[in-house]
Amino acid sequence: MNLRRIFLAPAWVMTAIFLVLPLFVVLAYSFLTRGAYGGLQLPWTTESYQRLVDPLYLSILGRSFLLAAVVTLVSLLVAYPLALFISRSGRRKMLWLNLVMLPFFTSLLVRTYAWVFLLRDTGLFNTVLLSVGLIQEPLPLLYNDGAVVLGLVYSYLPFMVLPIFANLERIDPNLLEAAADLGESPLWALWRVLAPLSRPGIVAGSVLVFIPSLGSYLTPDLLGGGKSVWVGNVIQNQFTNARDWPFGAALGVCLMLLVLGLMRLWQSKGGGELG
Amino acid sequence: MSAILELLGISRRYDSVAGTVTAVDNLTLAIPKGSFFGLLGPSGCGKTTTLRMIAGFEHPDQGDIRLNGSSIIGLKPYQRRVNTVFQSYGLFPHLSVRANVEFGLRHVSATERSQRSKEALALVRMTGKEDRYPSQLSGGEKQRTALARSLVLQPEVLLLDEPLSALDARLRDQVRRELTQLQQQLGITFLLVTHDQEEALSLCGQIAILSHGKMMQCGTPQDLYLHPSSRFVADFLGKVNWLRFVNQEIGLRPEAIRLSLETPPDSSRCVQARVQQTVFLGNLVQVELWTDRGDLVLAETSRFEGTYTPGQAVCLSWLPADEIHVDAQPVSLAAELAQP
Repeated sequence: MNLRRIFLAPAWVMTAIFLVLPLFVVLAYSFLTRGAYGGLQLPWTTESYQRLVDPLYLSILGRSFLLAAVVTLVSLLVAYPLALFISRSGRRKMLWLNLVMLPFFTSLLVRTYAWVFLLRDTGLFNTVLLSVGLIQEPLPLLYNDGAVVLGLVYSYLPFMVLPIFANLERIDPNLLEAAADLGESPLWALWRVLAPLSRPGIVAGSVLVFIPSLGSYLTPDLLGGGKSVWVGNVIQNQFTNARDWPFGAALGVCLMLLVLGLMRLWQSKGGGELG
Repeated sequence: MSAILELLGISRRYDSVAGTVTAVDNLTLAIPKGSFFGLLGPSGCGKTTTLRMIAGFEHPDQGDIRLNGSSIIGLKPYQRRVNTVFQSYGLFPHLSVRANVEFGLRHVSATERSQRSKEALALVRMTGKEDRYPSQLSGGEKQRTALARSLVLQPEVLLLDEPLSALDARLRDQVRRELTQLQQQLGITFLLVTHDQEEALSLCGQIAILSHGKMMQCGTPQDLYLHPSSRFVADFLGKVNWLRFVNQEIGLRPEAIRLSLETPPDSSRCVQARVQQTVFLGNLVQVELWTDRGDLVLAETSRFEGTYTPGQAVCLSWLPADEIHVDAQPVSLAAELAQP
């Protein structure tokens, strides 16, 4: 018996039970018929997939992609300077990295609720702005797309910072001196040397932020308050209130295939740096 | 020849855990236009810091740096008409050889840019390899690309940081020849920094020797080798035997010593010695001897000058002109030579 196989066996078993099997379950659900009181029953059908082309669902799917892209872009714009700063901070590096990671030690639910308390009409921001007299009425900060994007950027920022930081750390600092020596100001050197060389980190971070954002339902639920509906909310709803498991499963499969397609595209752009 | 680059009393100090370290200490130096100038010293002597201050990556705490008579202290690295060939070359890995060479030509028109990069690449014999990436180049090719990338900008002074250290011995001779040729052909002032005395002696027309941030001596390779003003300079530039002769200490290079079995009639400079051991090195023979005064002396002779065996008594003689005397104050001499 091959020793290598013995050691690999647990990994295979885990993958089979927790990844491959559920995928096939979802795939099977999506081709079954909805039961009269929820649940599933035969016969096999493609009806759920035919319902996907409904403009309502297509627009929700499209909006989710668009908003997830906005979240990714905003995260990148915030994370890149932050990662650059951390990679230059010498002995304080670990301190800053730990601060970036710190929110992970609390539950996502708690952190998202914290934003509700900050953003609502009687929340911290509105209270302060009202009492200072800058505004006469509370600003509508909560329950819109902006609040959801803010919440998601906040939640997934570390996933963008860490790969970019790791990438920047590997770049020879001599290259920036060489760029300066050849007549480029720091901003141009950033654009012409640092940005292209940190592309693998940018691609990795974007994937890590975009995918969970696209599938998120908690943050849109709490900060969107039903006014910013994402595809994740629709899927969740099919399995709970709507009791339409086959349709929820079909939406899930569709989302997964779209993400896989996008991943392939990203991989080819990132020069195969992603596993 | 007028000075193109002047360092006027520059100093650079660092704060470290062990206290303040003075990397460069009140250094004054004038580099003549069109020369191949070397800054030579052991590691930690401040030569790299000096180079970085000229390039603009570091700032002197004191003193002034002048290029063509005007101060460049306030200028950023990208505003100085000085370019550096880094020790590790610093080629951009995501750009081809051509794009690397054209990196500094962003403000130039496309036709002029390609014309100039073509010329620069031809100059360093890299024609035909323009589309390669740095990872596909050999050490020598990387260096030639880095040279072309700097030279294409027509700098007033080209700074070279240990240009031969990353190359293997076989390539060194070739690159050495090419560098000398290139410098003569272009007439650009080259300022080389190195810890390798052979590299400095063979390449540079003029050398300044640094130690602990101070200049020890400045002059032509011949001057420094034959007439060092201090024991440090003499020892740094090759082997020296220090021996007592007529109540003073003199230095003798191993190749300046002649061995003979009998006292040469014409020589006033002669001591008796006994052979300790001999080492055959092919092109020459090293002979270790004890003088009758108890100094250990190393002599280098040719195998045509006779063979010696351990224990043999010989006479050791030299010419007065080959004696090295280091009683002269090194600091004052250095200061005197530093004046343009």
